[in-house]
Amino acid sequence: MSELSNQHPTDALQALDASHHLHPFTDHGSLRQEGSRVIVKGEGVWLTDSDGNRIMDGMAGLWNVQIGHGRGEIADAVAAQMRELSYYNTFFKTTHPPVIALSEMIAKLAPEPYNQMFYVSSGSEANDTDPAAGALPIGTSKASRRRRPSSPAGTPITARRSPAPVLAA
Amino acid sequence: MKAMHAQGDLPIPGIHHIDQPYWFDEGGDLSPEDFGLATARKLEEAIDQIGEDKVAAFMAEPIQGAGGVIIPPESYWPEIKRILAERDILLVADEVISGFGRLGEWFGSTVYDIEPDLIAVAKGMTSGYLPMGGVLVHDRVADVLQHEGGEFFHGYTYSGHPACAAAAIANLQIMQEEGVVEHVRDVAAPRFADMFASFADHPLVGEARTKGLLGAIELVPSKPGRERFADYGAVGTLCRDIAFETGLVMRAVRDSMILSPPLVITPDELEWMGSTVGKVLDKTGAELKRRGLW
Repeated sequence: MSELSNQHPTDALQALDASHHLHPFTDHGSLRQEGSRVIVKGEGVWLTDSDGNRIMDGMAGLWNVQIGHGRGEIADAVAAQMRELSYYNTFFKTTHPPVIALSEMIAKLAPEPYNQMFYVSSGSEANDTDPAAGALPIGTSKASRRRRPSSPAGTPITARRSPAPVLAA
Repeated sequence: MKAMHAQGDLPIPGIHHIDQPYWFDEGGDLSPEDFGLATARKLEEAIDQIGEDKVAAFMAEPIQGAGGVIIPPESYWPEIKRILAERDILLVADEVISGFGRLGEWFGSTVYDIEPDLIAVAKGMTSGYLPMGGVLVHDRVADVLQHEGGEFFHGYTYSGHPACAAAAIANLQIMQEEGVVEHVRDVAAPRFADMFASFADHPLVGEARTKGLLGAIELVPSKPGRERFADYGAVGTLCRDIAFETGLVMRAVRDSMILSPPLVITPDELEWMGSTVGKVLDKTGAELKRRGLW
């Protein structure tokens, strides 16, 4: 494989991107005039764009790339799992080895009173889950809470202008 | 966030917002410590106004991330803890950004000595290699769900996706085996903090703050008084574009420049980052002067 698997000229990619791709949190008109920067490779803290420029990823993607880009061990682990069991749900009284192993791992990493994990696909979904998971115990438990709210859901209070997921909840 | 609320017809009923502990913009003449207490007490006022029996939970990030890396004054969280404990109200910590090592411990809740009932996580759990998140549930809540909750009518098609779980396991193994969190605590974060302290001398910088590997630089026209440029937000956008052109991704939140690098960043890479930020600030200042804005 060549250094960059993308060999298309930047302007052609930008034109195609502008034709069919609506970006999140974006003024589409002005982005399409300007043209998106095309990121084609990531390694450690460095990104490479389609013109070959090296750029330091000072935001770790969107605050998430803790171990840096391009670690082959992750690709190998995911490929192996996909060959074994690419998908199954956890709804039908079912589970699978990777989610069992991960739950144990996180329970060990987390501070002591946290031993249970509910899974979602993103932080937004995690914060959508919070009110449901919080309202249920407060609405149902008489033993562990000293009083019950008048409505089962109660009113979550959030710090103003905290990030979108919390406010979307 | 105001723009998001306006466009999305938010906030939805049943969610009440209180002021954020953003001393630099909203602290007025108060010291950071007094402002932290005053802002925390907005929670107390809100609960008393709504009625203690109608409030399910307080949700907040240990440090607001996308809001502009708003590091609360040290007085803030202890006061929030007191208010919630006195009223027996649940705490939900959004650790989507602070979870998995960014503040030099595995979770931000231990950094701030809080014990939330629920902890929302995502991002660093897989290092972004595949999308996955979750809610860590305190034993005292889990016990209720298990013994009294009945059926929990909530979940997603991809809850616990096996390939995402495999990515998370491999990621967390790397973080443990390579001591990534210890690297943040002992190596990267102290250098990051020193670097930001040096930015504070730049004439465009009103404040440069860090916690762990989260950092924000406040761009201002003059240092004392924490004033802002007239077209608030435009200078940040300009600075961000200059940073990109100079080879560094920074994010602009209004006129706050944000850095949140991969946790594995080395001392050499941090040094490169520091000298590049210096150049970016100089170029931004020069461009503002050229445009007659500074």
